[in-house]
Amino acid sequence: MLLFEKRENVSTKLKVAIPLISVFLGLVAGGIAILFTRTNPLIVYKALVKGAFSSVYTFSETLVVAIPLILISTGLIVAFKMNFWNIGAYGQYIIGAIFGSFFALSMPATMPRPLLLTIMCLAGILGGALWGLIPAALKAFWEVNEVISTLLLNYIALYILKYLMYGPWRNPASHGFPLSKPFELNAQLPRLLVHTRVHLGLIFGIIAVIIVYILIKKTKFGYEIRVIGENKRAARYGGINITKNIFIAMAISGGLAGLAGLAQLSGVIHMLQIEINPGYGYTAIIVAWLASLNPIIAMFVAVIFGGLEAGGYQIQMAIRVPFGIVGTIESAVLFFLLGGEILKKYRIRLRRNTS
Amino acid sequence: MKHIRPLVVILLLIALVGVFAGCAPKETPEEKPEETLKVAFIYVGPKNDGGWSQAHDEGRLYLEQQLPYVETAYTENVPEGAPCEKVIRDYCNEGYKVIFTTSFGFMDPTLNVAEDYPDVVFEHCSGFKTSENMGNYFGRMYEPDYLAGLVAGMMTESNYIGFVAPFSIPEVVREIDAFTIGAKEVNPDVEVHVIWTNSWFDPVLEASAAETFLANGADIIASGVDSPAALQAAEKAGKYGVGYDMDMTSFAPAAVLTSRIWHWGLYYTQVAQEVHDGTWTAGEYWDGMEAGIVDLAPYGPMVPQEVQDYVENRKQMILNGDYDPFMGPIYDQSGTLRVKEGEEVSDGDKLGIQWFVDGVVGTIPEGGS
Amino acid sequence: MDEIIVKTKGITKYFPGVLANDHIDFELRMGEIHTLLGENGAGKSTLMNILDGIYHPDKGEIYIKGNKVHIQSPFDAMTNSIGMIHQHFMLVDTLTVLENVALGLKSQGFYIKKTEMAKQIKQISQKYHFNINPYSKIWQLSVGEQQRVEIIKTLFRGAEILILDEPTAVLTPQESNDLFKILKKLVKEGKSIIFISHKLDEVMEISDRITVLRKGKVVGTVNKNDVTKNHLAKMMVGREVLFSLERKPLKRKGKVLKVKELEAYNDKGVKALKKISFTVAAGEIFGIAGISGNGQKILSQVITGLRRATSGKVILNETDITNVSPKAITSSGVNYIPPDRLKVGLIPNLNTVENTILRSYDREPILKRNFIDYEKATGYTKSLITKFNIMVPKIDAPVKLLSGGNMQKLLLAREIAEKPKLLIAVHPTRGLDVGATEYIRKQLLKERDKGLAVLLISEDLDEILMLSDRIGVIYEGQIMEVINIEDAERNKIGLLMAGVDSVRN
Repeated sequence: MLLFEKRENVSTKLKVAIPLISVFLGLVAGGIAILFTRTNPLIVYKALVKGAFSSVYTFSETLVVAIPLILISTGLIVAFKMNFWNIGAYGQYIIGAIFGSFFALSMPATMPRPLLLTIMCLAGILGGALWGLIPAALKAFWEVNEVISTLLLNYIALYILKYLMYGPWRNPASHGFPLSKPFELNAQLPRLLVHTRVHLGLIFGIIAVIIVYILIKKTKFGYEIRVIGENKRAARYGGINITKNIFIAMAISGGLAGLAGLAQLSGVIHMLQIEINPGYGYTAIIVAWLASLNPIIAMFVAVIFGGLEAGGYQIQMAIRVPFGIVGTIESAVLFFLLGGEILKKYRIRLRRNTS
Repeated sequence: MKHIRPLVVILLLIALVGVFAGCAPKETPEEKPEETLKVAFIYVGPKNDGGWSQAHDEGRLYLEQQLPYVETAYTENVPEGAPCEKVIRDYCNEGYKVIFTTSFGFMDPTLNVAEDYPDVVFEHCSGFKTSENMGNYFGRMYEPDYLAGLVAGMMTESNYIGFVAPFSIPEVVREIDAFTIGAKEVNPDVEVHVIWTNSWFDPVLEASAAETFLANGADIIASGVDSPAALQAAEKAGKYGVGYDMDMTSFAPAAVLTSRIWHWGLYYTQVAQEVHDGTWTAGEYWDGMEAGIVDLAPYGPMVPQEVQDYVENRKQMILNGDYDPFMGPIYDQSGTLRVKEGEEVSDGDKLGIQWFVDGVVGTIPEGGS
Repeated sequence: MDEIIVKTKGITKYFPGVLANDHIDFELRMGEIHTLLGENGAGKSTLMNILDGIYHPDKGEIYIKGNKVHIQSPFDAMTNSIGMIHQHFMLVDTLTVLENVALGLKSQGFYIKKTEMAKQIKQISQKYHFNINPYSKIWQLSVGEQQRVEIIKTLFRGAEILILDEPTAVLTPQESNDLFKILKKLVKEGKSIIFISHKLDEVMEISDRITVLRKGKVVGTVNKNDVTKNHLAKMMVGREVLFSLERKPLKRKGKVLKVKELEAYNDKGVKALKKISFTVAAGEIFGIAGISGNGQKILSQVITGLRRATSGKVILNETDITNVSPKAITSSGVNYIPPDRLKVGLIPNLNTVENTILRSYDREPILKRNFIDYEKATGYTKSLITKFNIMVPKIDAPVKLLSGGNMQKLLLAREIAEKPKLLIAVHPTRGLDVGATEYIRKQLLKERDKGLAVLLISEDLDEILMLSDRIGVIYEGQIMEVINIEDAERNKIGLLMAGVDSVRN
């Protein structure tokens, strides 16, 4: 029979091996589901890989999805490190997009591009940060649980966006449809590669990863949030100002989510509308966790998730499998990854049952 | 760990072999007959949503049936926003020559891709932008809407009709207005109440909107959204409903009075034919019942003959071009005369309509500057 | 009495890098209290966790009532009549006693037969004088009462063999006495008990037989009546142990800490300190004796700035530090060994270096322009490890993997290295083995001799008497009396601790 035994510590080898095996088993389980649609799973996976990584163009589309995931998850890591459960990247993303759009829509088309883009990015960061500071303040002054406050603020953000789109920011030329005026060229983030949609946001993401990595590993702030995250009472005992750190961490976390929202508009969508894909705010939570809250790993996990999404559409196109299959594969992989976490905590041994 | 290691190695080996096998460039040479026209469809919902996307998918199947040289593909559940542009682009890269994008939110992405692929024909449904190689198409659904309004107006006993509506965009406002004009024509006391779900496809929300109406005394639920959930709620309450997109009788047989339906296949066949013949040009297609693109589905058994006769009479007038639901006099919600007797709302105004006619209970969120 | 109920043969258990149990032979007789004695890390808990099915031995056999068994899980242990009471209780705070007992009970269906169970719990409670109301919520109970709920749980599941893992580590002396009474009653009713401890006094008080473990091996099994405390200590540590420490004559200097009519409230809003006044001078250890919960914890929190004083003053070297931030108090020269090292003093999941710099990370030389110089920090940590003789196998491993004694040494080293003017030490040796306890106490005396003012708060009266120069006895938030060590008399202090005031003269 199988025995579960608690592990005291986890070796580095296991830390690497377990997620890899988990992903593999997830693909096997997803493959079984694919078999039910009378399709060869290998062909499906081939299409997935092809759709995500096979050419400059497909990889560029993978990166387009990865950009917001990188920015958001990197920010989330800062908050999660101090045990502040920011579920509100969704809303911070939207508010960042709105703040940035304000300048895109109100500044003259003659304004120099670098200037306008700088203003927009700062506004995006500011918007997300302010939205992130609300739950921080609620927590710091009234002990309001941040999971609930951040989650509810997501809905408020969405309704603010809807209000603007149905109201003051609706483009009169859009026949009443909820769209803003398109962004002029000077409000569009430059593309990094011609004929692709990969934009400057990728560079923002990489810079954010490096800064956050150094911030956590090397600075006083990083040390303090780690202490707070691991043991709040010890932090208080050590004289660490918890309130101040919550504010800083949420400003960073929200700011990066806001920048992600702005970058998505300015780099990809080029107008404000209701559907601006804030759901990345939730996906990024998973990315951050799978990366064990390490921003550098998170960057790669984000690319894999980007590939899963980008390649997922390819599956539908190449092979007539139902859309649900993509979701099934993703869920199966996730399921096994979470299962793998158990393996990290317990050692499993096989034993003949003699009793 | 000692027990696990061989297992790990084996698993990783299998994984690697799998990946390499997957990557191996063994393009099977599936040469198609030269004439094949590859046509792609992008849906916003699942293709079997029982409504909007399914109606388009039936159009796609109809097209495949009609023109043997056409090969079709589709992608379902594509979010509006960033991802759809990629999907459209992928089809272009795969050699598709005609691409139908079937949701309003796909408009600008379609336009973006159209710029980069001048050889591909793009057709966008329900929008207003066009270009050299991108046309748009829609149908005068307000005609069946008006007819359905007649049916509902005569069938209601509580004079309370609930309309489950997605977004407060002109397309939907127009539907509600036409429906209400019909209902009011035969029943001056009727009220058409509106709830916005702010989503094309959200069965749970649609059902709960319907239940709200029913709890407030509605005895007919009209749906303007993409799933049959609202009608199923009506059936459960023993009330009636008016379907949308396709004949929804099969989802709620006891409730459906009739449905306003799309026949996209006719248009799809027309476009494919034109592209094949080299006669296609980008245009703005907006035809009505006379072209067959929109229609009223067969009545349910509960609709009395005299009601059917009245409605059929009106339908014939519309088909003959003798009647238009948006003929004056039309009063708006505040009682102001908007369209004088003998006048008619122009196509341009119909396309951008942002006010409710008298008889509608509900508001349109404030218009933009 | 002589029937063997549990027997282990050659139990061996490896953990990565450690041989935790090395061919352990152990016998428990029916109806006896058998103590497993050993220092932290000697392998006591590992052995018991094997009996309880949490760990599985790499080698060796277990016999219950002569039958060979394989215990795969705590549930298996239960069916073999073994019940373990862990040091950290497995109770759900927000549920009632009854609901906690019902949890995981196999005979229970979907619904809990409340009245029936409540009756049974009351019966057990009466039989062994537990005095537990089945409908109390766990959080309302004292630690001692919670422990009794754990015992009820195991009895309810039909345990004949009870294993108690360091049960007194969390108890006050009074609660310990109550527990011992219960244990004796249980044995009288035919249960057999394995008692894990490293406190020699209580071992001598409660045990019938004692098995001593050292470094994973059995040193020997002895009858209580055949041994002395010193003998046991030697078996356990492997060398002679001192039960009294050498103290240099008192060289009291200026007053460092003055506490004047201090008042504060506890978490429940009850006044926990009532006009407390005392002083601590440089070069002396001022001990606060008292039973747990009489305001000691609140007092230490108020002085260190972790809790607000509602009136009164705390003065450090003529500077008023009342209600100043903890950080300011620390930087003005007050350091603090909190009562609970893993919950307050250390960050269990961070490594030794990160724990060591908790006091010094925000200033030169470790901090440079907002960046922490981890190389310097590591050097600093290593110097403390060497100086205080702390056993740290891997400096970058989580500090929770250190033994309790080494954790406490690290904590002490960190606080002393700050060169404070006043050191507040609360229960500095609670839960530590003999060797570590001795070490910590010696260090405190050494710092006193160097001129440090030490405020020692402890519930261990022996410790207070061994270390203090003056003793203040606290009862219900008041200092009953301050006694010089020369005049200190165990009995008198005990009475003061119980609130009896009229013993003067």
